[in-house]
Amino acid sequence: MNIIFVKWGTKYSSDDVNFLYNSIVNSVGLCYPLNQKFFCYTDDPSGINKDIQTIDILKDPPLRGIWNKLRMFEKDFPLTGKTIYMDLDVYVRIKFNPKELWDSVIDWDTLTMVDSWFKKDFIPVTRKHHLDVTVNSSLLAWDADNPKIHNIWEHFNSTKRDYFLRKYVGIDRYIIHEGFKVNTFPRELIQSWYNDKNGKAPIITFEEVDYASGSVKSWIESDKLALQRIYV
Amino acid sequence: MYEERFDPYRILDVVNSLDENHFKSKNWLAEEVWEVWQKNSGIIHVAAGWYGLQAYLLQEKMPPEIKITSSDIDPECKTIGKVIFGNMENTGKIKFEEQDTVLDIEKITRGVDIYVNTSIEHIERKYVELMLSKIDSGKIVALQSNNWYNIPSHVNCSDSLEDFISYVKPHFKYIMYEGEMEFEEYNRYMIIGMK
Repeated sequence: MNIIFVKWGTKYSSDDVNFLYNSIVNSVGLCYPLNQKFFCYTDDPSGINKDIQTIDILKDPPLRGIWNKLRMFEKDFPLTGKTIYMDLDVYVRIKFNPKELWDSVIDWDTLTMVDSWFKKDFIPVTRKHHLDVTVNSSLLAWDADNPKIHNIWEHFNSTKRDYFLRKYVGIDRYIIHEGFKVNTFPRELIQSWYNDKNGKAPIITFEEVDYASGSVKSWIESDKLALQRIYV
Repeated sequence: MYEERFDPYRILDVVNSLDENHFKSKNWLAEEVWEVWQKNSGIIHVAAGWYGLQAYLLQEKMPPEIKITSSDIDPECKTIGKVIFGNMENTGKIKFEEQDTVLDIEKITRGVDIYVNTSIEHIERKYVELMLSKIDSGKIVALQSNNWYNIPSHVNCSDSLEDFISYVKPHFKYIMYEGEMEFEEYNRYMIIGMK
């Protein structure tokens, strides 16, 4: 299984990549054998842990920011097989067995995204492409050899690419409103730190908060200590 | 998702294409192109022309004998452009086409006197240079770009007018006009040159 991160520009640093990598390999819990390969798709590989294989960001067409995440779905992207993507503001709390756990919750024939359950209750009636997307791409799972996944990129990289970039604020809205079928991870696996109020799932996402802030970092550190007391 | 055949965002995109800043910058180009052309006939091709505002404003400035085509890689631009500008009594001569200004540049510029492209910030620099290298000598080329980096589809902004000139100028026999227009969030640059 591949685990891949994307780092473009200066919002996140190689320290953030390494921090996430370490949170995965050093996470506490039951010590199942892990056999992931780690990748980082980036425009600046300097400082990234040598155990993470870097893939240079392709420049044709040049994409900015989060739009680079779509490129991972290209047929010729240098990955094969089951793949998990994580945003750099994700924290893995508890070690899990990739095969036992992931295979039980993921339909590898479909793109799996994070359920933004918290958006479902308060959506006003407004532009559909702005607010009615109730999934997010903090974490993604797909089979890199699946032609249906390749179509997500091919449809984007078409004569309408510029229009899509104007129309959609990010890839979540592009994926949903262009009609691609997605599944969602179970909420027991992934929770939002902000919306689940200090969630206790194995994986925590930090959307809608400043990940670099002291409050987030100190929560992670205290959580690590608490987990070590439980598992060690 | 929206119904497959109904995309209301197009309405907003069309409205955006007609905003005041676009009118200003495209009027500016129309005025300066007319200054350097000053003939009663000719053929103009506006590439990457979106829904056709630039073609319309050129048509407003130019004598009625001048033929104007607006093309875009997005096929919807042709359909919508025809509705907005293609059937008006005084703009009947604007023709709309679906063309890729990079891949189709030779076809686009064949028989054309003036090639216009105000979307240079949307086209990678290497492709802009490739495109310019394939335009025959003797044609007038009018280009606009900007320094508005904060837009995801702007993949080839220029830091300044000098930066824009630096990679475009080598493709021209001589520069006929160069200038800069300030807007609240960005500056727009224009070069008109002879191939």
